[in-house]
Amino acid sequence: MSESCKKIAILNASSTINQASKEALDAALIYGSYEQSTSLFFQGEGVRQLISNQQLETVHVKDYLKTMAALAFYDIENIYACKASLVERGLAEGFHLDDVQVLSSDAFSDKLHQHNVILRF
Amino acid sequence: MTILHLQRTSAFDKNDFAQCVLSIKPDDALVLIDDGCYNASHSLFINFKKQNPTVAVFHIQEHAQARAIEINHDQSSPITMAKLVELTFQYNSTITWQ
Repeated sequence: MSESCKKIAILNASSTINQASKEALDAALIYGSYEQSTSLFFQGEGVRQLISNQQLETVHVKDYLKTMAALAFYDIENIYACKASLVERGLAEGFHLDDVQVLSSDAFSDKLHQHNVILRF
Repeated sequence: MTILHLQRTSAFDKNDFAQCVLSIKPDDALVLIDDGCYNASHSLFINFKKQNPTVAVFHIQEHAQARAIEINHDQSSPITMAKLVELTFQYNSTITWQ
């Protein structure tokens, strides 16, 4: 793999209404806009960001989740969620994003190990 | 690819370490730093060590000492911050769990 071809993993571990989660999305979009190969990982409380029908405006928070619809325009198509984290929280797989790959802990870790740079938020 | 896992928070307080142990592979290494040193006495760590005897585990000696934490050197090797910097060159990437 050439030195310039870095694979970036944005590892989301914070719940929806959390500054770190917004920063994670910003980082992903910035990497995407520079055409870096970027993947999104959702683990722990981070899986809550994927849940549909969240209404951030009700608590006066900018709805950055809507921006996730633009991920495809930035060629960010590899989106992974940790099944154990979903099960632990009793969350069904009704996501507001398409093509989320729900992985076992082992498979999730395997995917993470395929990336050069891993940023956890 | 190998990962150097830097664990900065305590499992008695937050669940980062629970996610960390799920992500570690046999060729990775784990470094307990700051409050992460408290994990040495947590059941998550004890079970992790039993199940993953080959994974290299280190802790920052000063950080454990500052917190009056006694860590069994069979369980984790004491290192300095300089050694930590050296370790980062021995693995493909790092994750900071905090």
